[in-house]
Amino acid sequence: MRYLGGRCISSAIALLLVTFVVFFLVHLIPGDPVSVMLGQHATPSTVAALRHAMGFDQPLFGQYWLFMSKLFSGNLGDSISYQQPVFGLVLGRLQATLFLVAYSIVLSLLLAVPSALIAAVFREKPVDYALRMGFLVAIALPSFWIGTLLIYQFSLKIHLFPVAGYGDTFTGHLSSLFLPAFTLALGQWAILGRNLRSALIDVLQLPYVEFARMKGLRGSTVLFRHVLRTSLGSTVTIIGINLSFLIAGTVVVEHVFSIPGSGNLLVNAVFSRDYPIVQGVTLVYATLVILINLVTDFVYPALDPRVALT
Amino acid sequence: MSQIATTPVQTQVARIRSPFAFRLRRGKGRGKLYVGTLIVGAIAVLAIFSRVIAPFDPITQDLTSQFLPPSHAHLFGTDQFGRDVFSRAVYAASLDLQIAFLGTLFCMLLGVSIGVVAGYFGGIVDLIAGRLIDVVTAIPGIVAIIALIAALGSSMLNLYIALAVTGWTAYARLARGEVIAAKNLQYVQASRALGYTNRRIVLRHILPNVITPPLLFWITDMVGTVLLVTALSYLGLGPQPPTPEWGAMISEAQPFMLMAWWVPLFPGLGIVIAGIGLGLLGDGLADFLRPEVG
Amino acid sequence: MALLAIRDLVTQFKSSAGPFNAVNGVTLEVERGEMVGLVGESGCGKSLTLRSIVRVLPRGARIAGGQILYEGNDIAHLSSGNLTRFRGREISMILQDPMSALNPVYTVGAQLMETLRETRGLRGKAARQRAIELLRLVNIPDPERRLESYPHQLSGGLSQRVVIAIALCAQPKVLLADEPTTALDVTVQAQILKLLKDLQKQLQMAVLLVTHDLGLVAQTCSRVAIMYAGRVIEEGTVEQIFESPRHPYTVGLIESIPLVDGPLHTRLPAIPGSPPNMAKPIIGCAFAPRCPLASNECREGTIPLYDVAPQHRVACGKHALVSKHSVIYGVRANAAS
Ligand SMILES: Nc1ncnc2c1ncn2[C@@H]1O[C@H](COP(=O)(O)OP(=O)(O)O)[C@@H](O)[C@H]1O
Ligand SMILES: [Mg+2]
Repeated sequence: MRYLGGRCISSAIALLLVTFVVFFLVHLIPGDPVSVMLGQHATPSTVAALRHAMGFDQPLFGQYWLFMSKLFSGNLGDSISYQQPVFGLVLGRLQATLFLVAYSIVLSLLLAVPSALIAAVFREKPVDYALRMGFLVAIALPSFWIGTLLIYQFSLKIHLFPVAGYGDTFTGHLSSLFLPAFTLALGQWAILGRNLRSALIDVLQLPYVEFARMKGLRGSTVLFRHVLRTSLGSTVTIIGINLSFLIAGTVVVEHVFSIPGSGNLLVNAVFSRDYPIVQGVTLVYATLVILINLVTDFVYPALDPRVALT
Repeated sequence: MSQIATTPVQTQVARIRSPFAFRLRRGKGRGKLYVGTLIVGAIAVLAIFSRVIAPFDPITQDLTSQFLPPSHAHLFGTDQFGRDVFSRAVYAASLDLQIAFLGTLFCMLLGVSIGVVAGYFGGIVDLIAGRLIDVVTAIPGIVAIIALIAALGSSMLNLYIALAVTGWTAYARLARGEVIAAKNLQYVQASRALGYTNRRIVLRHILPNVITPPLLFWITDMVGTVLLVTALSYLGLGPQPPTPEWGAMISEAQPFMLMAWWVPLFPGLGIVIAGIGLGLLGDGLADFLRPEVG
Repeated sequence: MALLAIRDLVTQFKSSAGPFNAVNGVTLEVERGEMVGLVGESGCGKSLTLRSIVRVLPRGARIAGGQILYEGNDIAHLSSGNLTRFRGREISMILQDPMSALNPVYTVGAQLMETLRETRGLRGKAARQRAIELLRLVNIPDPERRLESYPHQLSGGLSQRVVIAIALCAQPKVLLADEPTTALDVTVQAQILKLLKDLQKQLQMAVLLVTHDLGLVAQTCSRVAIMYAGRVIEEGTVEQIFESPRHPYTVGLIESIPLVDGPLHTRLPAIPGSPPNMAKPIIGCAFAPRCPLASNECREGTIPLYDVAPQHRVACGKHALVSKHSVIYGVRANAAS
């Protein structure tokens, strides 16, 4: 319990520091950020108006204070290119991103659990070598390249999936996001599969697994109830640790498949010099990572009664 | 009874198992190590001697030979500007591997320094380093890099800065853990008792003990960094066209994919093969150096 | 016909230096309802013999020869499906460390009831009822409450009782007990042993008890098998083994049992030397290098098992010369200093 309390506090501190980093980002822009944002054709009066709106006419601490007080009322400023509040814009686009993240986690588990089981049970046999080689290759696959090849093969040549977009209904999402989710899932498959394989191998040799066989349980019961169940704890942890990596992956994959998600919003904002959006997306992503990592810390004890009681 | 029971067995088991375990250990990483070294070596040669190896100039356009499929003259075919894809891929190898190598090197130097200092001094220094690590890991890697490049502008120097600022945390964690373990070793405590300076203790005694895990991670990290850098240029935030770069080549080729599949195919294969080679090398070294077989 | 008869069992380990026989020709019989002790120094292959019977072997090990006859049928080559139907229902096994034999993420009740479900087809209320009866059978107080406990909440003694209860779920005719008390506190050891003895009598169940404590065997078993370097070198009733041992190694073991009424701090005379390296093939008698009676014929061929009395077998060519008094490794009186 004390451990979890400590995790809450350090998450809060990390979140606070992230707001500072995000705030400070615009001050890294060489020259006057406001004229950079508005471009060459801005009139002096619009520049002055934006400068005042963003608080750049105040001292640094005052600016941060303003930034934070606006943040607490859910205000991340207005997008320059969309002329809309950034917060709503990012949240609106977040749905597609989160759908993609969840979809790819599900797909990667569907791939990783059976392959890790097969590799662990047939350890050092040809299937195991083949799967481990597969993991090695999958880790090295660039998502934008695999995504491109998948579009070429399944969308352009045989029209099985839409080339781009997000779909309108739940099944529409499932079909539109299948290729992007699969693209992301390949890398996750390798990471989770490798990890789960070695966790399974460790557990397979434990005395309680031997005893489970000695007492007359079927092979499948031993494997699923005793070996897999205790190995999954580490997989949950790995999913949590890799979440940041996965979210990073969506930025690229959303661009490849033209998905209207927040990652795509970010990339386009860079080209239109829409810094408030860059700040907003960064802040929202970091918050997500921090929160979800905190949640996995709370979920883990539920999987292991030994942890729960200490 | 138990006297005769326990002592001889220890020696017996050890005698039977140790040659067995040792062979296993030596045999285990070897295949991966050989193949990995071979692949990485071959790509390194291509990259270093790109000027000699590439048959064509990577930038000069030849609009009379657009979209030629792979042939003897053009091993990987030509692109929309009639440039030789093989030559461009070879030049790109040189650029991408250089960025990955130097970028991760900076990360390692920065991360190990922070980790060693944090682990050695502990207390408030460690606390600050810990918070820094928390913040950097909270912002997904490529998002932080994109944000930094958005602010700083896209240039080679800024790319290196962005890579170093966002990529050091894993090294710091590893080094910190090793330092805390090494600090409690007998001889380090002894040198402290002898009154050696902190600097000397860290450089002479702690660092050599601490550096192996970060060095091993360095190789794995290069796989990720090649992917990261090529992804950035795919998004248009890395080295700008017409500079030959794997990610940018794939992105430029995308609109013409149905016409000329070979243009995006080969740069991607380059990335994958480099990644596999580095992956094998890293895994093989880790197996090879692992103290015991589990 | 013996309930369980093992003949010339060979269990091999793969190693980079080629295979070696960690169990090297074990012959052993267990009758219905009796308690047999299997004694030997650690590393001599006791656990591996037991694991070979239920075929739960470590990685790299396989049965390379011999027969395991259960009610007259060879079970050494059962298919894995038939093996599953055999384990637990006919022969069950318990391990040395009860704490690690229980899965930490399931309650005691869950682990009992899953066994009852798969081996007996019992579900729901019936399974729960039976689980409570089993816990009562192994003398666990307040069994209803114990069903909800997780393994880490149990003491070593309680865990071993739970493990025994689980092993008995499908009413096996044979229980293989691999050093069931070694990992426990001294005070608990006697209780667990008494429990096993009571259960053996009450359930008419055969028990094959592995231990390296000969004194304990004398108190609980009717017959004993002595193992050395992967082989059973002597097998007989408790009286035969203790009163007229016919293998020099057995004599050495008996000599080193601490005397209850002897002087304090008595240094026990140990057999000089150490067991052979099993990775090399053993020619002749494995004990010859340490044996005071060994001569050249002991170092060649394979030593057969001699029937020296009804139920008493020994693998020693010099068995006619061996008695408690003819083989002397050390003198107790001198060692007392
Ligand atoms: N996992 C293993 N790998 C290699 N050899 C083993 C392994 N387990 C046991 N052995 C070998 O088998 C022999 C017998 O082991 P075991 O049956 O556990 O002995 P005991 O139970 O009599 O103490 C040991 O001396 C050792 O050489
Ligand atoms: Mg044993």
